[in-house]
Amino acid sequence: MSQMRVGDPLTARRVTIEQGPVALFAEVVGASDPVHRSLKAAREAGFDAVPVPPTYPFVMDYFGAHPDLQPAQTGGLAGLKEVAEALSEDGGIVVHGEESFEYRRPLLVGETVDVEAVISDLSERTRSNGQRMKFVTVEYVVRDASAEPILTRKTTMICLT
Amino acid sequence: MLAFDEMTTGRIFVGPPRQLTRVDFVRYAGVSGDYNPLHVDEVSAQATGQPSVFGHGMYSAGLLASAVADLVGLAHLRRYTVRFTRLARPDEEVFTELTIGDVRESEGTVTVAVDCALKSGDSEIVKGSAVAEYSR
Repeated sequence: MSQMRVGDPLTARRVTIEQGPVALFAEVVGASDPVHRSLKAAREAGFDAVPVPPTYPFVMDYFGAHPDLQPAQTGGLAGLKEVAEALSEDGGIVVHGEESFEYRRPLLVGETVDVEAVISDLSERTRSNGQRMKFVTVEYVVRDASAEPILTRKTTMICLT
Repeated sequence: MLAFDEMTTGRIFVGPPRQLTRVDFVRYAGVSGDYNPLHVDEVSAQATGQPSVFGHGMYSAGLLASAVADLVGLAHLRRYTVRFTRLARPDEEVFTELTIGDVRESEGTVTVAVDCALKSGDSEIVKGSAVAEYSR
C-alpha cells in the first residue's frame, strides 16, 4: 500500500449517458420498469428524461468515457484495476467487499457528467485466524454540467493474504 | 411501487425465483466490460480450482437494486448499499427479500429504511440496505 494514501485522486473522467447502453443494462439486471427504455414512460413517471437504473453508475465509464471527452489529466491511479493492483502488491487476492450509492437526483440519458474519485479510506486488520485483510475505499462524486453533485458512490475492496 | 400506507415496519416482500445461468454472467460481462474469465470462461475458472464460473458481485447487486427500485419507486431512492457475502453460482435459484425497516416522518418528509438481500434458500449472496424519501 506504500504508493496509496488517503486523499490520492484517481484519474478524472467525463462520461456521457446514452439510451442504448442504459436500456440494455436495465434489461440485463432485471430492471423491467419501462422508464429505462421509453422517454414517454419516463415523462409520465415524472422524469425529465430516461433515468438510469440504480447501479448503472458503476459501469457508465465503460460505455460513455469516450476519449474525445476526457479532460486534461492530472495523474493518479487510472482506475479500480490499478487500485486493486496497488493493494495487492505484496500478494493476496482482491475481492469486492462493499458498494454504496447516495443519490441527490436521478441521473438521466442525455447528460454528460464529470466523475472525480479519491482514495477515501485505507485500513488493515488481522483476523483471529491470522489472516491479514487490507481494505481500500474509493469515493466517487458525479457532477452535472453545472458542477452540482448528482450522486456519490463508494467502492470498498479487500485484499486477503 | 408500494403505496405509502403499505410501508409498515417489518413487512417482508419476497420476489419471484430466478435461476442464474452462465449466460446471465456473460450478459453482465457485456454491459459492464468485466470479462474476467472467472465469470465467463468455465475452463479458465476450473483451472484456478473453482468448481465453476461465478457471478459478478455487481450483477447480484443490480438484480437486487431492481427489486428495491420497484418497491420504493426509483425517484424516491436516496441510498443503496450492498455487501458481498458469497459467490453466486450458475444454476442457483435466487430471489430477493426486502424488509421494511424504520419509517420516520419529519417536517413533511417521510423516510423509509429497507433491508434487502439476494438469497438462495437461507443463504445470502448479497445483503444490503436502502433508504427512500417521500414528501407529504
